[in-house]
Amino acid sequence: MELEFLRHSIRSGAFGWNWFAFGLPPRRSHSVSAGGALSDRLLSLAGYPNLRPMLREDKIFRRSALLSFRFLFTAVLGSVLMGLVCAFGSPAAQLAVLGSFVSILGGLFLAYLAQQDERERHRDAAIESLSVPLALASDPELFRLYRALCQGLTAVAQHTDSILRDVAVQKLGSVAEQITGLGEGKVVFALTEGWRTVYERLLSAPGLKTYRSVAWVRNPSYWQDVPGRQSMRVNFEAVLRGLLIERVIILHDDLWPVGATLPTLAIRPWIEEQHNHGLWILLVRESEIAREPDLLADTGLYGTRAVGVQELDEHSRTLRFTLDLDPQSVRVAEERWRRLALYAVSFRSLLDRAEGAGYHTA
Amino acid sequence: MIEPFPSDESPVQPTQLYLDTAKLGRMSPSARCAHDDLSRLASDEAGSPFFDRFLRDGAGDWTASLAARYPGLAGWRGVGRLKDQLRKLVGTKVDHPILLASRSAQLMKLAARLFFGPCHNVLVSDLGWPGYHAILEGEARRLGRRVTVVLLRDGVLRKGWGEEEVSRAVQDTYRQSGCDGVFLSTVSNLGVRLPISRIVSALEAASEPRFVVLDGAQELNHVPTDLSREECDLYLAGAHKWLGAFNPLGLGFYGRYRSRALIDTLLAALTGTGEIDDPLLRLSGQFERDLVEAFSETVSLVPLFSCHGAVNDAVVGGSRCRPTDFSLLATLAAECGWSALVPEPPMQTAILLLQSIHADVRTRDPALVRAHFGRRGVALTSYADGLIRLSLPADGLQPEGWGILRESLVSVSNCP
Repeated sequence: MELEFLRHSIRSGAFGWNWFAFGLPPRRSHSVSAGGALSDRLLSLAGYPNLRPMLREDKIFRRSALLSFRFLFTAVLGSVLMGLVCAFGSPAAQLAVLGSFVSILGGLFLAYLAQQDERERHRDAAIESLSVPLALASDPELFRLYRALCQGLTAVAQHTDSILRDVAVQKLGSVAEQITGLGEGKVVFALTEGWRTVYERLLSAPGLKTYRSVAWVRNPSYWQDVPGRQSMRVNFEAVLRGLLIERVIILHDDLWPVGATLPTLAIRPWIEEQHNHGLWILLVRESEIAREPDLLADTGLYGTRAVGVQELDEHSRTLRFTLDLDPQSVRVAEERWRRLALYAVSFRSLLDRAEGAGYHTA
Repeated sequence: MIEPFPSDESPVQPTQLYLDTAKLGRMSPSARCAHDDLSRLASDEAGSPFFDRFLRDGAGDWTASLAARYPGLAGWRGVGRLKDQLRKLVGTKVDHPILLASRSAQLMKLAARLFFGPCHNVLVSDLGWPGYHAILEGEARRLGRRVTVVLLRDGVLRKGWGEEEVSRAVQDTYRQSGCDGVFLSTVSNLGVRLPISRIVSALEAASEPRFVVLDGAQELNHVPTDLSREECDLYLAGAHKWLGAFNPLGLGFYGRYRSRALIDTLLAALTGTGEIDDPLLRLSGQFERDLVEAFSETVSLVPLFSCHGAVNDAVVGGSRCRPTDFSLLATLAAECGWSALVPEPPMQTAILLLQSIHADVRTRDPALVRAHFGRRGVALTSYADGLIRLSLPADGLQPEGWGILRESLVSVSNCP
């Protein structure tokens, strides 16, 4: 009997998932248990020791619709009604009743289709809401955060206080905005120097070969605070490791007066220190690019991977740092860099000129 | 009469004609005297306080009897004075630093690191020293940068290129390949003197190289060297070739305002991390700063003293390259089955390349060719394809030298 069953299964191509279950304990009736061992052996010989045949008893039994009460009652009632009309009514009345029945049937069918569409929409939405955790399941860290957010939102929803709810909606709106930005490849650090940890990590990335930056120096306190000095050390270490750093320094005219060979001593040591550590330094006077205000920005190009833009207050403290990994933004920043380079002069060439003018001996 | 080509085991005669200064120069008289006297002083004093003081401060306060006992060392006034003499020899400024290293490869390693701070792509020529190029290329590979080679050798040695063509070829390659660094030999090991001033000034005017290093290993005391023009950021040389110190000592000259602090900073960093590990380089710097580490590594000091002697001779005697009539040599070579590869006059040096016109000589192992000349009492360098390099003596070839050279050239040509 088991052999016959297997033969039938093979013939009908039924060695699929619906006919087998992995490692399930056998659930056999007495009538088939005698041959169960044989099927196990056959499957084992076929190289599937963990597979067991799904028994016919495991199939979900569906009764025919023709035997349902709803069908039988409706069919009998309709037939009796039509019989009565045929027996006692005129042909016109018979035709009218028949037409009514056909119309009712058509209407019911169309209403059924509409309901079916609605059900399918609901099912699709349910599957889509499941796809978020499914997409995040491969990243345990993100999935953990997703769950924490979901739990937090659920907890917020359970509060009845309207003020708390309003505050929560406001704050969560901001979080949602940030998450949307992250999804687009943008990271924003506002009113914090915390961005420097990401900056240091980027400069230490093994694949990074070149780092081009634009420093817009409006006063001598630029990058002179503790975090700024630390970032300079990171620059120097990166050059020693072999990273090529090219920096255009845009200097306010107070720091590099028109006609002066070199910048003033207020900022020159900071520039010289970078030059002496092997950074390729180019200088631009702020007034020389006044007609191209879009070039006035503190920017960093990390290879072709990302671009960072720093906004500072008048005390050279970070207001906002935006790291953008969008390739289009990187291309735009590269284009700006090339335009800015047209105005730039190398610090090395200025030192040559200064040597001739006897600056170093002064 | 045709002689059989001798096997490598045949006895080698004492050298009668030394034409291999480009490989290793013969020791100059003062260098030999300093070397000998240092050996004698070492056998008496070794590492005594007297020797320490002599090493640091020199023999200025020696008695007449001591000076007479060690005449080769009596002129020693410390490392600082040696550097002063070297500055005088190359015409650099008195405050420009000099690096003294036991291995010139260490200085080349420093140069490679200096290049690949600011440079993407360094230009070299096929007349450069392959050993140095290998160091540069290794560093470029490690950091994902580039080295571009401009081909000059055939143009200069076979096509009659002059300084104008050479300069143009360098500029074109530099521009087309997007180079931003330059590493060139002022005098190549094949004896071509490149028009460095012309090349560097043209590049500076057109595209501003970020870093320039010149290899003067074959230039120092061979042709007049003038670093006062400040054409480069770092100039590398050695004491064991044309200077005649015999003991290898790597020399690095720098000091331009634009790059002096950069070199100092990187050198300090690389010696600090041990990436550049040359005990003599460290020790010579410490002497100048009057600060010697208590537990430093024991270093051979012989190169310092032999260099000191050799520099004394060089300052007195001038560079070794004398105007040489290559046409006579070329005629002699042609009579003996060799063709001379002579650059245009401004690019000529005391090095002459000859190539055999005989196919069988061109296919011979260069070591066997050199050995054959050695058995005829001639020391020279041989290369593949039947090329030999003659480094002509400072006082030119004497009549007997012409005879020996003719005989050996004929002998090698006639060997089957």
